Amino acid sequence: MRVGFPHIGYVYVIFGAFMRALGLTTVIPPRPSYNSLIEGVKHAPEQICVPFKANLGCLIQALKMGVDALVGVHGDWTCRFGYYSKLHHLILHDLGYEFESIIIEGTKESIKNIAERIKEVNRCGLTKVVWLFLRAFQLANKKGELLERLQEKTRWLRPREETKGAAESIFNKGIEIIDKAESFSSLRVAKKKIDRMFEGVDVKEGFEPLKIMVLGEVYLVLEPLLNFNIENKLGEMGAEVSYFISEHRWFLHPFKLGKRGRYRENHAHKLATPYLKYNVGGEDKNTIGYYLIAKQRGYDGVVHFKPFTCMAEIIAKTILYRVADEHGLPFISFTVDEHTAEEGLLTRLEAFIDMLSEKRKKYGGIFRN
Amino acid sequence: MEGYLGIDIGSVSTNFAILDKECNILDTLYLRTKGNPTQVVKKGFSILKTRLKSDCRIKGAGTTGSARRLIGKLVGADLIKNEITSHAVAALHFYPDTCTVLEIGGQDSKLIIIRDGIVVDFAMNTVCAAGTGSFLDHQAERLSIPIEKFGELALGAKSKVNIASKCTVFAESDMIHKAQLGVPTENIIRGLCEGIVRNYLNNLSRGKRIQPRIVFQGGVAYNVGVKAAFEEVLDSEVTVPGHAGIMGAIGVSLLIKDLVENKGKGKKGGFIGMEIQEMEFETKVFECKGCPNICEIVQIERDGKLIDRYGYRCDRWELLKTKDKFNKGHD
Repeated sequence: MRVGFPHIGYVYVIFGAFMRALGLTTVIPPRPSYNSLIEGVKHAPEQICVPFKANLGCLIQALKMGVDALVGVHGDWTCRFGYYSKLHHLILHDLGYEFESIIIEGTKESIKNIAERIKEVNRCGLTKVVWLFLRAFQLANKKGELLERLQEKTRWLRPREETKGAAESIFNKGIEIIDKAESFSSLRVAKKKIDRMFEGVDVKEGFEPLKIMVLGEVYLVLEPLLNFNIENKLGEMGAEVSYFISEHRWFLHPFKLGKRGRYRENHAHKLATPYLKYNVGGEDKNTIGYYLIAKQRGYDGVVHFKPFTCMAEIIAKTILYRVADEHGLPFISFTVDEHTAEEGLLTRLEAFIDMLSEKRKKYGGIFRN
Repeated sequence: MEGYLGIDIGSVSTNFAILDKECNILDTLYLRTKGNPTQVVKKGFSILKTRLKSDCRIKGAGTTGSARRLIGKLVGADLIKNEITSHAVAALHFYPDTCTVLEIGGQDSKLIIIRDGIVVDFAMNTVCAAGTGSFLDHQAERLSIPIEKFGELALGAKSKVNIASKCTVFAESDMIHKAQLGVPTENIIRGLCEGIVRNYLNNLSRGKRIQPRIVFQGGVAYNVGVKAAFEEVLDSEVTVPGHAGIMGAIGVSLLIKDLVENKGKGKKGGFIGMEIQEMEFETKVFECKGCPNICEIVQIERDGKLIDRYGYRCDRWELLKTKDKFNKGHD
């Protein structure tokens, strides 16, 4: 069975391996681009946030490549993102595409239904399905770990590289290597290969880049098209970036696994509670909590992304003004919708970096006005 | 004699400033961009060239404003700097005790908070042009009042009227409505100036502490009506520098002067001089189909020779690579 699913950053590396290990054939649509975004905008409700539009465009491209079924996740997240898959599939059915809609939910029926499908595809019994699932999960998890390792190393290298573009090219090669590795042994080889690639790079000695934390709505943080490749841009300006989430942690999230990620998130929520008692949706608590974590860890600044019309992040951003006033860690917020003009973002980002480096020169750290 | 050239290419106006070694302003020029930054820079250079003394040599050039990157590459600028830093530098040069910079330009407005001589916070308007110069411009044209007289008229108003400030569409319909009720034009203009100040503060000053000294710059600073409205709302004196409209250009020429004096020549090095009238500049935009990223590549050519390329994410389009190999078939 050929299945397709939308992109979220590089999740396809992990999720694709997961599906393939379950005996399905995956159809990976091209990475989101302006063409696919425009396709999505055409058919999406006007006031909906940009991740929905991008996903819809991706799914249309997948359908054009020929799929039997589309897979989506559905859940009781407090933000409307939890219902997006159902809405996507409805819109696509209305557009006249024919496909089977498989929606993964946390409910018993849904899990039973999926197990039945895997049984059918592999022509096997339930025991085999459980075994397949465990193996698939293990493989995806290992891939995720490796992906996270690659990303963290790239982010470390970006501001420190001697030759411009070295980190980027290693990253692109690394992603390909990880994507191709389909077994545990080949993953071990891939890990060695990636580590070797990093060893051969010249780095600037004694250079301490600015440290920036990227926060906000998950899709925007993970998708380079919509965050204007922030990691690369900040890297070029000489800043080291870390994200509050990674594809790997995003994948582990529904399974309630991943010790490091879980711990950090609980910690963030605890820190955010004095400012926001309830979870009002999306990443609101994470945004505030990770801002405080960034402050504790001595970051120089925070970049926040929110989609236009995203209620949860609007609330978080408004609270951030107060938090920032108390704690003095500078933050800058960008609202993203479907547009191509990078100039505005670049101007603000450059000024932000100028400001942070001046501050560091003068006060050696954080200054409260 | 040595000169340092700063160019601020904004959405509405393009400003030039030439400073000498002692930071004296040798010459300034204000032109309308009219949507064509390349043409206006060519025109500006030809005007400046005739006015400049023959022994004056331009040692370095810097660009700022929304077209800074394009023009910077075209003229071989030694420094390409964002507007926020440039404006802050210029304000601090004239008034070292500056704590707040209010800047309202053609399409955007900025609020810069400065403490002890460095920028500690800033904000720039995001989605709306309601509180900016182009809206004032448009209204002046609609009322057939020269924009230069706008401020004085506002000061002559005897009473206040409220004009909606959140959105230009609402503001304009408010203005028309008030005019049709017979309210004198001066009062409406005063209401508009106050509306702009309200919009600016709502939009930008969230949680930021505006402390004196307050420097007001950008083209709109010449409007005494807006200045008066700011003074009333902020309850403190607002300083408008003599060169309010070209502070961005002055800021970048101060920066370029520092750069050239401290490091010899800027790292981008190679201002190509004022003789650009005869040169042909061309910008090509195309999509790279090399991988699923589908980057939009922007390519700038000077006299048919490639000088810069941006928009790519991998090293495939790195400028110094064999340019002709990939050039074919993408134009």
